[in-house]
Amino acid sequence: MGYVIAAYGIVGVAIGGYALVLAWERRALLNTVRSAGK
Amino acid sequence: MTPDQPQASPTALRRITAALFAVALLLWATAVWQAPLDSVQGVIQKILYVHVPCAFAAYLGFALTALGGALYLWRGEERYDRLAASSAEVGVVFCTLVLLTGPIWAKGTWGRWWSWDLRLTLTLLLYLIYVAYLLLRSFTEGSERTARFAAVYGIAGLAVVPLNYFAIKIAGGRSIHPQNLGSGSLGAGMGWPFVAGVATALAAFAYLLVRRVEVGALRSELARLEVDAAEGEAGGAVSWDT
Repeated sequence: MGYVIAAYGIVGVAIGGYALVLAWERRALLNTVRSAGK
Repeated sequence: MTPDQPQASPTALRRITAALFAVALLLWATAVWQAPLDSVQGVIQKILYVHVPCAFAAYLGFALTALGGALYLWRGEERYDRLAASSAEVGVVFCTLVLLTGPIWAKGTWGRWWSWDLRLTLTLLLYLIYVAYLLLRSFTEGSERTARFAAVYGIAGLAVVPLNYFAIKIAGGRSIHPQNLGSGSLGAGMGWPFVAGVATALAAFAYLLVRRVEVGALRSELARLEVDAAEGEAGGAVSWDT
């Protein structure tokens, strides 16, 4: 059971983490673009 | 280079793909929980429902990299280059997951983490090809030349995908890796969780791709603003990021 939990856990953390990084980068870029465009 | 054309709202696309992903995830989790245990492998066989779908998502990512590259070479529009770069990155994420979940499953069934089996070796090669693609793009300044080279590289790299898929047949019985799934190759009650797993992986892929393309578009926008700001001082080539 430990192997199954490890496999599913890694996938969940990786996809969730990647989505969070993209969301964070989008937010940071939006702020920079808005301030640069002023 | 042709500048971007007006596109569909990324927010709407993001919401649609997020909703699809959430629904698929719920169905998949229920299906995997209720799936019967394999009579030979036991509970560890349930890794199948995440390992193979991740492989399909990685294949899709690399196919879209080639498609985006081909469209870029044909039309010269930046958005196709952005699609290629974004697909490669999301594809590499899924390929990484294939290379992580596979050895976990192997350790539980074969008793070792890795074997230099043709399928495993070609999966590692596929991963390295697209990691190199991403490194190439990150080490070279964003330009039309980089985009053209990356497009050709991305198209050529796709040749490894069918090799990888048919590796077990090519190995001719010498492969330790299980055969590709066919109709009826899964036990009773195992088909639905597998289909739900594929749907979830593809929905996750679509959601991440939309987000990544959006980030790429913002990077390009920022690069353009910086070029505009520096105009008159340097002039010269317009660059973009993906």
